[in-house]
Amino acid sequence: MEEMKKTQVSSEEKEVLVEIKDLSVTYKSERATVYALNGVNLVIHKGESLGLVGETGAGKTTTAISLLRLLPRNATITGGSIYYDGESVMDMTEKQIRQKRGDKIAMIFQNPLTSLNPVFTVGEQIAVLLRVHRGMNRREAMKAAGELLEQVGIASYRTGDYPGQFSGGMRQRVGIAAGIACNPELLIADEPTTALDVTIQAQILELMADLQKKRKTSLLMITHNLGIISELCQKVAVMYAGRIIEYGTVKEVFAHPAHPYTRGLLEALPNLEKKQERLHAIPGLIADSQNLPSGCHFHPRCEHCTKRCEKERPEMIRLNDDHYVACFAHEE
Amino acid sequence: MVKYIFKRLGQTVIVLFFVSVIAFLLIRLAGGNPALLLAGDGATDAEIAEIERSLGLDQPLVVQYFKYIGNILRGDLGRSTSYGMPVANLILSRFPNTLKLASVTVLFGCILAIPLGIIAGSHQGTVIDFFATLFALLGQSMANMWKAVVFIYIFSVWLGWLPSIGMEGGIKSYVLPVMTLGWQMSAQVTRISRSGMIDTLHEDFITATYAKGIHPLVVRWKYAFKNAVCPVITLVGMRFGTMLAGTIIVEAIFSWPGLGQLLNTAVNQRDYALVQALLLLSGAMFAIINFAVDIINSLVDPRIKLR
Repeated sequence: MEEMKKTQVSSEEKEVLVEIKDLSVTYKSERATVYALNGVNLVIHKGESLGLVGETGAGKTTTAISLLRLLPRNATITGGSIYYDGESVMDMTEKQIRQKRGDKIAMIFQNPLTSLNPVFTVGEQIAVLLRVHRGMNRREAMKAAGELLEQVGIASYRTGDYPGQFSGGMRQRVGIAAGIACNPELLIADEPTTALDVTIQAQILELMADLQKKRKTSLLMITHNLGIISELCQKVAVMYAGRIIEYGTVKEVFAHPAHPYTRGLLEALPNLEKKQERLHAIPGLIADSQNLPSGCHFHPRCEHCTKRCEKERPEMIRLNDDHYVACFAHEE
Repeated sequence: MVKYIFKRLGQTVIVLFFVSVIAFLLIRLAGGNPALLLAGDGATDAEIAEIERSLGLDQPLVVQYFKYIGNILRGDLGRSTSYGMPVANLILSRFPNTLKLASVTVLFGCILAIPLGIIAGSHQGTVIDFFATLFALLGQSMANMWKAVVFIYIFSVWLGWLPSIGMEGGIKSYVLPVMTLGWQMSAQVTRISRSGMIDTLHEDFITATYAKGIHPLVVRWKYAFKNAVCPVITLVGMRFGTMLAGTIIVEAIFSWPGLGQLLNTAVNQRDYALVQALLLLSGAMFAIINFAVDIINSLVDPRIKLR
């Protein structure tokens, strides 16, 4: 309890590493425009691990790749700004953002089977980071790559092997080794365990939690698995239809979910202590990002929907220092 | 690896056996009688029969075939009836010319087409891509003989810059044949490298490579292209093999003293020994090149296993 209080106090004083302000992104295809992000506000502090939850298509990955400025060509940032350590990411030159990628901000991808280059050795794929950002020569970088592999539980002599010679879980370990190669300030993990089976998931999560603690890296954990968040993160942000609808410490949000959507998500989890016949499901489908509902994006699925919810979009309201929600029901 | 090489050698021998049978039969099926052509107009039946006997053409096909194979195994490719000299000497005198033309074409074709394909594939839908695709479309859809004639008209007849026949003009002699053959080849190579790049650049691992902070040019030319290069190597190998066998039409138009021209004469003159030797040679050439292509591809892409 003592410790818990301490971390809460210190999180208030922590420096801001990433600040996303009112970010809006659209994807254009020939037939339609997809409104992927619609005014995302998010803060990541130094050394903190933040979980970003939401259904498929809520805009989690778009938020992450906007941070690295790696949006595909058909995406447009229609508004807002991103600050990394006080610098505007959008105003950086190509060279400046490139120097951040992989060095200060690293990313671990969702599918380890497709995110490693099949025709280069895993050693090379880790070593290139050290050559580019640390100026190491080939031999030094390869040796360091071997040490990184050891840290994630793979024998260092395997630097010369190709991704095809590893299993899925091992490949994700390689992805993590590449992610931590330059000791980044921020590690973005985009559903790093979704493609893995449950026993391997646990190993990978343990490994990530361990590394994050040791290196004091900030972590942006993107997932739709609330269990992962409660194990790995201090803060959580819930996303729905391209907006953050609830944000706070994991303890607070999970104990007292304020948004009907968050409540729905938590109720959809099986509870071993209660006797339940069926799991609760949130009625309706996730909002169509090509054709968003007016007002609060969640209103068609919300059981507490009022006339106002249909017309106005709720802004973030502060409930207490550790808890914010975008819902009219909590206005005083 | 050693086991693989022996296996491939065995396969090659089998392929060459079939090539020899087909070459042997095809030219005899083509009709016409070399003895008749040799004897000339007004020869008596007896004279023709005498020539046939001296060439061994009076014997059954099976006997002729095994004699021919036996001679080849002893290193004797036979005597050309139309040139009146050993086939081996003829081929040795012509092969370097074809080799030079094919090598220069492949070299320039690749230097032009591979970067063009990479750039076009990396900038799909842009002006560069449009012109690269147009270049490829024209190169592939215009027949070589048509291109050759147009080039001769423009550069030899009209502008008078370049020689149109033979290879006595040094480097200048190469320009038109290389342009003709090279455009077709680079058209295909451009298309294959372009589409390979487009496919590869959509892969997750490319986004992951960008996320490492690597310069876009390095991402494309190194990390993406290595994924797209195997079909390019295969194609270039095939084109090289085709050209080494002698490009009959282009060599004929430009009077290039290579194997293609030799084959042309040999077929017209029903020069059995020469036709057989040339077909066998091109078969062997293809086998060697395919072997080299397989080895190179397996080195480039670890997923390709030599079996």
